[in-house]
Amino acid sequence: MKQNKKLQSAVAAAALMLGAVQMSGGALAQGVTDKTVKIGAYDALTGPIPLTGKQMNAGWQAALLAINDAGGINGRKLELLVEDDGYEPSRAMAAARKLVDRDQVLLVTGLGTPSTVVAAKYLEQANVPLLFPMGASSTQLNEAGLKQLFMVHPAYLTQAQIIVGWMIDHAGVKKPCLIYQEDPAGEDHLAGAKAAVAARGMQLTAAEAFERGTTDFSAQVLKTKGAGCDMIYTAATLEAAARMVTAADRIGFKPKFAGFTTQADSTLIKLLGPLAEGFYAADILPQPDADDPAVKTFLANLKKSAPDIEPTFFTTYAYAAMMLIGDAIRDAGDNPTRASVVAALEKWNPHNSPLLGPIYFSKTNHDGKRSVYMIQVTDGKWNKVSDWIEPK
Amino acid sequence: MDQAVINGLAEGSVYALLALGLVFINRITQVATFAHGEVAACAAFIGFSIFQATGMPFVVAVLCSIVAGGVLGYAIERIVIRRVQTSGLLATIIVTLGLYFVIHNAIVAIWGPEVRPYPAIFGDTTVRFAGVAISSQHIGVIATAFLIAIALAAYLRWTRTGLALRAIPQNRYGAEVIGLNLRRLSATAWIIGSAVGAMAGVLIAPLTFLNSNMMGAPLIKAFAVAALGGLDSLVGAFVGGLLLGVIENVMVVYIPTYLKDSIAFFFIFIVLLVQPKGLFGRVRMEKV
Repeated sequence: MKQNKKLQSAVAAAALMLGAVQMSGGALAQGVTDKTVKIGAYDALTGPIPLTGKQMNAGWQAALLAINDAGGINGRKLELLVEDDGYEPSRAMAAARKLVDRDQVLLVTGLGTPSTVVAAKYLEQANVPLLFPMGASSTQLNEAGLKQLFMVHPAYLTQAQIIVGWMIDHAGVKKPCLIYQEDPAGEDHLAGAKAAVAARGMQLTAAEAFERGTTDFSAQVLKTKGAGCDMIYTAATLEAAARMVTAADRIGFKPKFAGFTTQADSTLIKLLGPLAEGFYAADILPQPDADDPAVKTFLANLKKSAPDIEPTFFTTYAYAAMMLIGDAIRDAGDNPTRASVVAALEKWNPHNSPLLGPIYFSKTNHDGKRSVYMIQVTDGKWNKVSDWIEPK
Repeated sequence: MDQAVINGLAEGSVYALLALGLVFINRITQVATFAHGEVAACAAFIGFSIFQATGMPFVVAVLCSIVAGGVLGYAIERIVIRRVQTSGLLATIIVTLGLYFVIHNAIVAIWGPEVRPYPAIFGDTTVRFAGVAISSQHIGVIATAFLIAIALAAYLRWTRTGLALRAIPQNRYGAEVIGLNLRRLSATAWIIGSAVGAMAGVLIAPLTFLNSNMMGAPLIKAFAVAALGGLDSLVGAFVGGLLLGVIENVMVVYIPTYLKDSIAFFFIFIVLLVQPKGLFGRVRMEKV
């Protein structure tokens, strides 16, 4: 009977301990302690888009600094864990797993359309919110009706639809064309462009594709010249768009160029110099030289956090997104949980971001921003040429 | 159509220039170095840093790049290749693949992932004639590739060192027996090949913009061109590069442009099927 007694004591001790834990006021959610909230991010710090990865990280860190310097969220400091996935879907999956299982973060954000597609599936099953990633394949994301995913970057399809439509309606374009990357993001742009021309009873004059990594666009540009295009929509990375412009210039071809949000960046002007003149792009954030107190605050925080990082599109977006994540956690209440974060977000109708403007979510809509405005390079600088535009 | 041909010559000359160093090293040491593109990129970055830091005329920075390329090639041969060569050819090639990653990540670590414009040694203008246009930089690349191919071929053919270098792949044991210093000659091959790679880096950077990923796609095409030309023929690399560029650009006038890369490899596949030693390659005979 000695053994029984030992067992009894053990059970009693366990019961006491359990009781003690219960009495400490209720367990906090994963990723939340009395003093901190842990969030995670998958980022492409190595691989094909390391610059974007670096800029996203810089924006996130600057916002983190701003939030924590102001006292944190409801008395808790925000902690960000960044996992490098090299822009590879398989590694993105591993990164998301690690952040949730091992690091036990409250929620996740990230970069990259292919990475987001993969991570979103996993995070949906794990019931972990995926907030405001930079990666906008609408067909695979926004339309999938995912409950954990919230987007504030307009989908590529939406953007293409708006941009091509606007160029036809307001920039006198009659023969619209696009050069797009041969992958899901590029296909999205193509679908949006097609929707825009169809709505106006027109057709795309040319649609040339290229493999990722292409450095010479002479062939694509030559084909668009032959087709008689008067506008090229550059559905590619900023560097690729710049190379399209130089390729066109080389053969004496001068169409209008229009790009999406990732080209709304001073780097384009730096790379192209005078050739950048006249380039159109869509934007959702104010330019760094705007006379806007929110911009000035952002620039000050960026300087404090990373003085040698330029305020590019991705940096600004990441900063704005992280500030919104802070807002979401704050709105989730004194003891935020994953579910309360989602519930809080679904009440944003709208919620105002000083940099991104009004964001609209609801129980059935997690596509928070469906409009952009157009800018154009004139006199070596980006200038606003339209108000906010919705897709038509 | 004419413009497509000119575009092809221009694009192909880039492949050719990058292939030349590759072919030279391979011809003498029998090592196909996957790190060649990164050596070229590294040299371009070094030149850029020197140009930015000292404000010297860009030509000086270019010369420094070429020297840096040679030094890097020597370091690779001495520290890595020499030790691995006894383990066989496959091991050596895999090591160069490892070097690709090491150098690539070192570039990102040192210079960051930023994309920067790069000065064009042959200028930024467009030359127009007979209804077609080509950039002055591309003309420079074609001319440089041609001159380097001829110079290297002549060097191998008509100098004592060149003769010694040619002896090594022919009969390594025999070369040692007659007293050739294999170590020094091997190093020489790597230095020259990498210096040529550096030249390619400096000339290609203005076209692709200076960034850590700039040599990824061109290197694959350079390998393809080297195979097309015969893997050890310098003139073959030059001609093969131009030929491939032209075929790619002309074909996509008729078929969808996203098939451009596939055409290139398909074409090479056909050529090698018909002529396994490549267009200009030498058939290697082994005495049994």
